[in-house]
Parts: sequence; C-alpha cells; structure tokens
Amino acid sequence: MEIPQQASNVWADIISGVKVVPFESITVRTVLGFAQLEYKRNPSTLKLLASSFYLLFEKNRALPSVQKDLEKLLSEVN
Amino acid sequence: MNSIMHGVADVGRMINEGKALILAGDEALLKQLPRGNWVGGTTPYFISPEGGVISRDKIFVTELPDDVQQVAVQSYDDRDIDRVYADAPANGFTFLILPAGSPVHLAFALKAPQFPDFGMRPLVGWISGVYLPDLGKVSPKTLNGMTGELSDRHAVVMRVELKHDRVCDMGIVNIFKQGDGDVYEVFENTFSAGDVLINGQRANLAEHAVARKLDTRLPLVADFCGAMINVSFQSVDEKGRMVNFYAPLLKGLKYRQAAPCADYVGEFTRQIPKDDGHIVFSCNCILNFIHSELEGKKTGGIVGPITFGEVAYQLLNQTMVYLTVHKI
Repeated sequence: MEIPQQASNVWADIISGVKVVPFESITVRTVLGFAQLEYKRNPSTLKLLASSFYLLFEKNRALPSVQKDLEKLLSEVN
Repeated sequence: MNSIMHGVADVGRMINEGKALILAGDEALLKQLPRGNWVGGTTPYFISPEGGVISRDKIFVTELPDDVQQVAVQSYDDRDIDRVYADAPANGFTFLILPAGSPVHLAFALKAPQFPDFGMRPLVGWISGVYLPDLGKVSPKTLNGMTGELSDRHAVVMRVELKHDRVCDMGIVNIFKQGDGDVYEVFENTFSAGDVLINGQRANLAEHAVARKLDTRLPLVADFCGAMINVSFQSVDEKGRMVNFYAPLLKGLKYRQAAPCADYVGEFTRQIPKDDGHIVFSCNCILNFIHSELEGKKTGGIVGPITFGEVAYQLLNQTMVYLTVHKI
C-alpha cells in the first residue's frame, strides 16, 4: 500500500479534524491524540504535526495494526 | 506466550545460558540473579497460568522468542529519559520499566509526548511496585541485568531488534468506558487536582468527589481518538482539597468517570485479542487485580506481571497492555 505523500493535505486535515478516520491501532490513536491536543493549544504547529503524523505511518508501515489503519486512511482519501 | 514463574535458581540458569529475559518479582529474589541479558522490576503480583497470584518466592519470567536478532540493556534517569523513543531500534521494540513514584516515572508521565520521536517506534512496559503492606516502607525498584544495578530512580530499558522477517505490534485491553456523568477538565497537566472545570464550571474536585460519593475504584476516562485512556484515583484529600491520581490528567481532554463494570473477567475475556498466540508479553494493573478480585482467577490465556501502571507509548492505568510478534 502506498502511503499518501508527506505533502498531501490529508495529514493536516486529520489532525485539524477536517477529516475523521476511525483509526483502531493504539499506535495511531496515541500519536494522533497528542497531535490534536497540541493543535488545539497552538494551531500554528499544524504543518510540523502533519509531518510527524506522516512519519508515523512511514516508520510503522510494517505493523499489522497500522496497515489496517492505513487502509482506512486510504479509503478516506480516495 | 513464553512466560512462566520460576525460582531463583532456574532463572539464574536461564540467564547464564544467555537467554534474553524480562523479569518481575520481589526485590530479594531479583537481586540474587547473575548479570546477563535481562531487565527486571519489582512486584509480587502476577497473573500466572493458574490465575492471579501473590508470590514472594517466584519470579515471573518472559523469555524473548527466537524472533529476536539482538538485545541491548540501558538505564535512564529523569535527566535523559527524553531519549527513550529516539534511541529505539528500527525494526523491533523498546521495553521499559519505571520505578513507581520516582522522578523518572513522573518525568515520563508528564513529558513523554514532548520527547523526540514520541510514538515513532513501539514502546511497551510497566511501572514497578511493592507488596502493598510494604507501601511507604520499601521503594519500588528496577534492575539492570547487564550491570547488576538495583535502583529506585532509574528506568531500565531493553532494546529488542527483531529478525528482518519479523514484525511486532501492540495493543491494549481496557474494559472501562466513559459513563454518562459529569465532565471534568483540568487547567494544566497534573497528578493532583484541586480546582477543575466540572461541566464547564470551576469547582473543587475533592469536595465534588466527597459530595457525590464518587466510587474511586472507577477511573476517570478520556476518549483519545477512540482509545479509552484511564486515569485512576489514588486518594481524595478532603482536608487538603486535592484529589491525587496514578497518572496525569491532561489539559485539553474531557474526562468522565467510567461506567461500572460488574464482571471484569467476563468483559476482559471478551476483549482479549483472538490471536493471543502471538502475544510475547502482557501486563495488567494492580487496581484491576484488587478491585476485580483477580487473585485465583484466570483471564483467558493472558498471563503477566501485575503492575503499578502500564506503558503503551504513554503511561496508562487500569489497562492491560500487550505486545505481539508476527512473521511477515
């Protein structure tokens, strides 16, 4: 499965709540949860947070639970 | 799961055979062990294959499977725990044990999400504790098997690199869900709350807990992108007008007290992963052990130490954490 490019808007849209994806893995939920908290406190960090969220998928793409969440994310994008 | 309870002599033999081990047991036992590829933490509470048990003469041994390529053991204190995520292996996991109530435990609990590379590699672990009647008399400890250091202020970490055709994963089982009661919010990240927002109005949480007769066996629960994250009550200090918790309440989250659960074992068994044969480690919380009276009870095929806090990337309470390893 191809991960959306780092420059894709999907990463920022998920953190800002524009897109809602029903993720299930504790890995994705934990990082996204803290990213969304940080975004609420300081919206100017969105680009940095989006970049980290992309890296989470890139570095953990082999984890079965993250693969399932990537499928969910891709169905949201396509 | 390749986990079972052994006496000191058997564990010493396994260490001397070069096995990579994660150990949980009484301090008096762990400090007798030879140096080797192991990390340990203190607790005399376990879920054994026979069910929940308190043992001060057996060590709970998690032997890492053949999927492991290499292990390294490290120690951190509150000054360098911020490297715990960044130092992780590319294909593998980090196993962390923190002594309860220590500065490194507090630093991790409060600051982990700000540490470099937070969440970027799997990190699982637990908080070491003591036999409850010894609370305040004996401090929880960790042991670095490589150096033999026994410490009440150092976290111990095992870095586990997996073979190239193996991958790990992790999950949690939390039977608690938010109830439909009051909504609590804090003004800053804190283990101790005085004035908070209750349904949007400023009020004192200790007074509220007493007035509402809150059942403090039930944690406060936040919905964290769909993951239910508990923060357990430690004490209500009515005179000091403070409520103390076993993990920090986080600013920006909305907490509700958990709905009661009449049958912990039944609900837990329903939620444990179907492919539990892949589980190489799990741990569960001392509060679940006590409040759900798990002594003598089995929780499906799941075994492991009973701990004073659990770690799945961040500090958790009243939650079962597990790690799996799969062949690609």
